[in-house]
Amino acid sequence: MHPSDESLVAAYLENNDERAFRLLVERHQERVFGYLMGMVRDRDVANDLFQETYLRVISALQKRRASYDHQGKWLGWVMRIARNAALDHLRARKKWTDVDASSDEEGTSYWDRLPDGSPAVDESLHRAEQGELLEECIEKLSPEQREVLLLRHEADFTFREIAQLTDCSINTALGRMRYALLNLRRMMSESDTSSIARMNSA
Amino acid sequence: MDKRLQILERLYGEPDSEGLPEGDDDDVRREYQALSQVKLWLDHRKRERPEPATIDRVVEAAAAASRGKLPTGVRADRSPLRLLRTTQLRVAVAAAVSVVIVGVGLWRMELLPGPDRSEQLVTTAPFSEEAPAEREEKALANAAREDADAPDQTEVLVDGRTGIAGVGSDELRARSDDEVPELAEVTGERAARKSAATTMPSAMIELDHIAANEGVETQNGRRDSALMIMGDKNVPGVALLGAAGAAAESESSLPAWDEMDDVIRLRQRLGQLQSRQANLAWDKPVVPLEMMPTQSDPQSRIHQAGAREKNR
Repeated sequence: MHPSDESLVAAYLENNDERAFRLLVERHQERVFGYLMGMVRDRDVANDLFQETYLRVISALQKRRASYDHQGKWLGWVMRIARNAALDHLRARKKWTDVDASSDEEGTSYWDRLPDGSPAVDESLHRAEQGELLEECIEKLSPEQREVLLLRHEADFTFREIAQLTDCSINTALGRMRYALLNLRRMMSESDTSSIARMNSA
Repeated sequence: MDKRLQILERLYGEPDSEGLPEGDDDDVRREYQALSQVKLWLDHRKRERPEPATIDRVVEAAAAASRGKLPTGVRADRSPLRLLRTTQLRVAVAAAVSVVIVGVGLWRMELLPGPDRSEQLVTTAPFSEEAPAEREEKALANAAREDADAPDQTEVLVDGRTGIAGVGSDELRARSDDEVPELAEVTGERAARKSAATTMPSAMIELDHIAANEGVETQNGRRDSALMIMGDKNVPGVALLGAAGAAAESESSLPAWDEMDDVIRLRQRLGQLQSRQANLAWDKPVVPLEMMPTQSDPQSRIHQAGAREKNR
C-alpha cells in the first residue's frame, strides 16, 4: 500500500505519527534536495536549507496557519517553501538578481543573446556524460534558466506547475527551459572543443 | 504557441503536448534532436540526497513540535522577499499619491474659495452676456447717477435692490423664520454660522447691508427679537446671526466684494477732482537731452557732447 501525501500529513498532525512524517520527508528528499543543491551548489548549504525548509513546514503545520490546505499538492507547497529559503540565501549572498518579468517574457537573458553557432557534439557525448562538466555548465546558466531546469529535472514539475511556482507565464517557463538546454549544449560543446585542443597540443 | 516551445512540451511529454509541429522544416527537427541530446545528459545526472543526519534532525523537530515544542530560531514561512518588497512599495506609492491628490484638492479649494460662488449668490439681476468688468462699470455708472439724484445714497442703493433686500425687517424676520426655522435660535456663534451657511437661501446674501441697518435699528429698540442676516468674509455663503452682538460684528464681517458705497464715493470724489482741475496734466512730456536748450553759463552741468569740446 502506498499512502498518499495528504494521508501522511493527516497522520502526523492528528496522531502525532512521526514515522509518517519521516516517510513524507524521505519520499521527496531527492526532489527537494536536488533542487536546493542545484541552486546553491554547496552540499553543506543545501543540507542547511533542506533542514530550514522542513522546520518552516513543521512550524506552519503546527500553527495551523499554513497555506497548505490538505487538499492541494504537498510537494508543490514544500517546494515553494524550499524556493523561498533558497532565494533568501542567494539574495543574502547577492547571487540572485530579481528580473522584471515583463522584460523577460521570452526568457531572454545574457546567455540567450549569445549566438548558437556551435558545431555538433556527437563525439563529445562521452565527456558530457561526466557529471562534473555538466554540473559546471548548469552552474553557469542564468538563475532563472537554472531554476526552471532544476524544477523540471529534479522536482519533476510540469511546466505549468513551474510557471505557477515562479510566478510567470507558461510560455516564459518554456522559453527559459529552451534557452537553458541550448546554452548547456553550447557550453558543453565549447568545453569539449577546448579540452580536445589541449590534448592535441600536449 | 511557438513551434520551438511546442518542441519542448513534446520532448518532456507534457500533458497538453501534441506531436511535432506539422509542416516542420529541418530547423525544427534539428532543434528537437539537439534538445533531446541535452535532455538525455540531464536525465543521467546523479540524484542528490541530503545527509541522513539532516533527515533525523528534521524528524526529531517534527516529533518535538507535535509535543508542543515548536522549533525555535526558524523563520516563518512567508512570501519571497521580492513580492514583499514589491507590495510594500506599491502601498507606499499609493499612499503618497493619495496624499498628493488630497493636498492638491485642498490647495485648490483654498485658492478658489468663493469669489465665483459668492458672485453667483450675490447676483440677483438677470443674467447678461456682458463681461464681469463691463458689468461692474455699468453698475458703478448707474449707482453714481442715482447717487447724484438722491439725497441719501445708501438709502437709494438699498431701496434699489430686489428680492428680499426690499422687504422690511418684520417681513424679513417672518420669512427667515419660515425658511430656516431651525436657524432662528442660533445665537451668533461662529461655528453655528458656518453650519447655517449651507442651508440659507442664496438670495439672502443680498441682505448684508440691510442687516447692518437692521442691526442699528435693533440696537435702538428691537434688539432682543430681531434676526439679522448677513454675509461672512471668511465663510462662503451667508450666516444667520442673533441680534445680540450683531451690530458689533457687522462692520468687521462685511464682505470686501460688497462694499460698494465706498467705491462709489471714491469714484465721485475722483470725478469732482478731475472736473475742478481739468486744465492740469499729469506731467510734462519727456524731452530728449539733445533737445534741451544749451546755456553759455560755464557753471551749467548740462552740455551737448560736441559743445563741450568746443568750449574747451
